[in-house]
Amino acid sequence: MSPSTVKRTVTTALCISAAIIGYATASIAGEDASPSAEHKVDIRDFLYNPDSIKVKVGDTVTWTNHDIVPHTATLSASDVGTGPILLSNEGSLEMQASGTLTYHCRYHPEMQGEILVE
Amino acid sequence: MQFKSLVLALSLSAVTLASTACAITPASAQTPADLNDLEIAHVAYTADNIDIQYAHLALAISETPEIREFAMTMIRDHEAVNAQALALLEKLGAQPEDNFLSQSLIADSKDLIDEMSQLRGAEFDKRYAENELTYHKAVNDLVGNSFIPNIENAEVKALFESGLTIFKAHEKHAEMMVKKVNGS
Repeated sequence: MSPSTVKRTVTTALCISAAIIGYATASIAGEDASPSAEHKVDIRDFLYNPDSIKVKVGDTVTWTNHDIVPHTATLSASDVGTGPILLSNEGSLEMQASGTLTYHCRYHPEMQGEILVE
Repeated sequence: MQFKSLVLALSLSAVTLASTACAITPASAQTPADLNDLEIAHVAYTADNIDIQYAHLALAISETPEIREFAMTMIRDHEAVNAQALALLEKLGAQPEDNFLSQSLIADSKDLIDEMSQLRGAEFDKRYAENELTYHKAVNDLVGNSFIPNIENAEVKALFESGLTIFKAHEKHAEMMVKKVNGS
């Protein structure tokens, strides 16, 4: 999978609104008017919850970190990821191609999750 | 391989002596089970800083990407835990209190740093990874079996419970590193 199939948007809690507004604007301006969805994944106690989700192409997955230490959600095949997500912050990836994507935390490789993009 | 008195200070003191000394009730804390919350906080802060020092040594010596990544994770995570601990102590208006166990840990760590500083290449990687596994096992035993059951303040206890989750993840990660450096 090439890096271009996923769009990274790392945000802090304060930037979320701006990011959502910006993304919404981009969607409205494009030819494809089909609504995209945001899917939430919590990171708590070194686990992704849920650890497997189904999304559609164009959807965004947003991870919220509840742990003291930073985590990432990094796609195993491409190494594209959210970058560090600090406590109480969020990181997002936009899914731009179908397929099954496994991901992990770059800092804690025992943490693993899966995204099924339809 | 000699693992110095780290294991003695942590595992032996924490597990063997704790239950014995509880009935004696010494005037000053001489076992982990006798430490008060502020002394426990000092031990935890000290243990975090020791592992950060080991990690900085690894970054200075090791050229193995996995070892360097692991070391950077140890620095990142332990600094984050310490920041939370300091913030909580500030909120509580308290100061951590030095004690026998903190001093023992520091003394042992100096010896180990001297030893590891002399190693290079695969020898260093192996020693560092194995020590990280031993260290986290000992600390997790101490935190889980001696500290958390005896901590009185609910917020301090909750922080230690979060810390234990983190350090158990480190222990698993260290196990992976040991397998890696041993080629298995």
